[in-house]
Amino acid sequence: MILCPNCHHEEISGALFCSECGAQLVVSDQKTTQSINRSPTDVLVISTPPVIEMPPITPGADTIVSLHMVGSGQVLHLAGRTEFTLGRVAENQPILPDVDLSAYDAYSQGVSRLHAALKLVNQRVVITDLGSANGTRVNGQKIMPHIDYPLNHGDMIALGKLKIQVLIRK
Amino acid sequence: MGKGVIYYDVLGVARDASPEEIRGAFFDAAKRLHPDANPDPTAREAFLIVQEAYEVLINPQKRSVYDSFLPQSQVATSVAVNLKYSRSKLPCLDEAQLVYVLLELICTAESSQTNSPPMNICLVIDRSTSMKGERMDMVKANIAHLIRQLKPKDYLSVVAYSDRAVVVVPTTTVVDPHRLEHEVSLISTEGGTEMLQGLEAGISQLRAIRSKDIIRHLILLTDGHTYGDEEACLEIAQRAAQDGITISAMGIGHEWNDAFLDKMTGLCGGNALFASSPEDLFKYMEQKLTTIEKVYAKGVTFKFQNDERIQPRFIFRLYPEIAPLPTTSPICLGNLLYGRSLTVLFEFLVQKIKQPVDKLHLASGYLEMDVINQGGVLQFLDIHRPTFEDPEPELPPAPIVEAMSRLTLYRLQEKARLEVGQGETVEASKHLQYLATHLLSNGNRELAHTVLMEAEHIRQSQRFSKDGDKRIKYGTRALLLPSGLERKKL
Repeated sequence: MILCPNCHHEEISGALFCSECGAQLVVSDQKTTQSINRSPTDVLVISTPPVIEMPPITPGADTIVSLHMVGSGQVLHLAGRTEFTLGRVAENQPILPDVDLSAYDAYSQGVSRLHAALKLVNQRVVITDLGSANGTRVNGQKIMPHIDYPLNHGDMIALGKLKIQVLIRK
Repeated sequence: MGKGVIYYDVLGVARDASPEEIRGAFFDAAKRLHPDANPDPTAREAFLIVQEAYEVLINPQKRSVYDSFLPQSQVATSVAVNLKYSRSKLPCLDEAQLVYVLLELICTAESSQTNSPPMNICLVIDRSTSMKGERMDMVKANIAHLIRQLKPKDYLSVVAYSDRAVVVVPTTTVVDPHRLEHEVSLISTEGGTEMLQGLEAGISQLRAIRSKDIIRHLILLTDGHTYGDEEACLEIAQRAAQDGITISAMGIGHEWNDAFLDKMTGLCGGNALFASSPEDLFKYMEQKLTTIEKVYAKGVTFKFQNDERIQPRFIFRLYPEIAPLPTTSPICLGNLLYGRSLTVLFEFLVQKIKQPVDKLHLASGYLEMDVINQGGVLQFLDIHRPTFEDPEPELPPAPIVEAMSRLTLYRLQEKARLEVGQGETVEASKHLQYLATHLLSNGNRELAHTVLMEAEHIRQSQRFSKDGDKRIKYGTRALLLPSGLERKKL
């Protein structure tokens, strides 16, 4: 007898699916069960994961870092300093972030008031999480707070759930 | 070269495959068989053959030389049999167990326009009072369309029935389509529904042409139940199957008896369809006609015996036409089409096995088929598995899991219908909700919505809505038509 993990219905050994709730009781020997019909034209096409198109950078000459807001498609150019704090402005806040992300739905995306800092160090760009509530991710990997992480052109960072692509002009 | 291997078959490509196709097939095979990836010593040998095949076929000069040595065509057995089991070794258990088997018959013969067999089609039309108006108009329009599709070598007859049957168009070739259309247009609606009358008249029309190499097909169009003569109808269907006549049914509206028509058409290799709209009917007719045209062998029948510990629980044809089949030998599997597979899924219930055996016969016997222009062919088919005390656990092959995942949904629906019939509406509505959950996760929003509405309807009024049961039944059945089961044209 097999016990269905979903509804605890008893099934005869060898059953592949629960007859009561339809849950699958076995794993298949292939991860993908979809079979794709091959036609001569698509044999050698190597599919690449979808790439988010990077907007061209055409800011003033002194801009080194730009932020591409993935949700809205807007690009913010950062210039004039070597350190920028990212966050959102709320009432009665003593320290304001350099870059206010409230316009991009920052609150509901889980961005802290002072979330992270971008620094330009020796011609390199690094990001530091400032102990945010929901954390910061670089290309999907969560980073430790208060530690610098180097960034490359095109890297995807996420403040909470707010996704931003970092564009760096060399 | 030599050794009797055909390089095209080694790579699984057609004889006129393009270099890209050959390259693709080779890469696929290499990924599977390369010694680095596959430690099995037989894989190494297979890999060498694949490599040899690729080297010859990818080089245009070598390929043309090779082609000139190839026999022109294979006449003998062009039917490949492919079996997949949910387990390769069965465990000896103190309790019953289930085994799934996927049988695929693949016709490897090349079809050509000239050898497509003539058809003899008989349309049996329900002309009871309920067909009046729109339904009859839609049937007539369809027949008119069908008449124009037929070729000069094809035969057609039309029978209309109510309390008794009338032969509207006796078996004839389509010489004067306008006259035929006119005669069909004169069919009026009256009386009750006695299917037996219609079937008898239809089958005797089909028998009128005594040629061996002709595809005989009866298409029944009805919208109601037949009363009192169901047993006799089943008997007639069985006899028709022996004569190589296939019966298909198309149900219109919500009152027809789908369970009965499934059973009857299943006896002779046909299937029953639910036409909820004129477009549906139109589409089904077209499909039917194209499948009849491509018949390579008709009346494929599996006659088998099995070990007394084995009981086939259900047998379902997945391709080319979806239909539940009877579970007692002989089973008429239907027609085998050119370049297509005939796919059937079996579920066997195996009683407890005490001692290991080399061959536990799940079903052993032979396949009988009537190959057009060649005559009867017998093919031995033995579905068996060894049993062991304690075999290693293994995973069932993906095609079986895939097919079962869809079939499970269909069976959930069957279960719910049965429960509604028995008045267990709470259970039925629960099962429909499970069904809807799975449909939603598979992305079948529309059907899931129908199912949920129906679950609600059952809770409130203790029965299905007007045609809700049939919509769900044929909706879930249609899910079984994945492109994945369709064989690439060989």
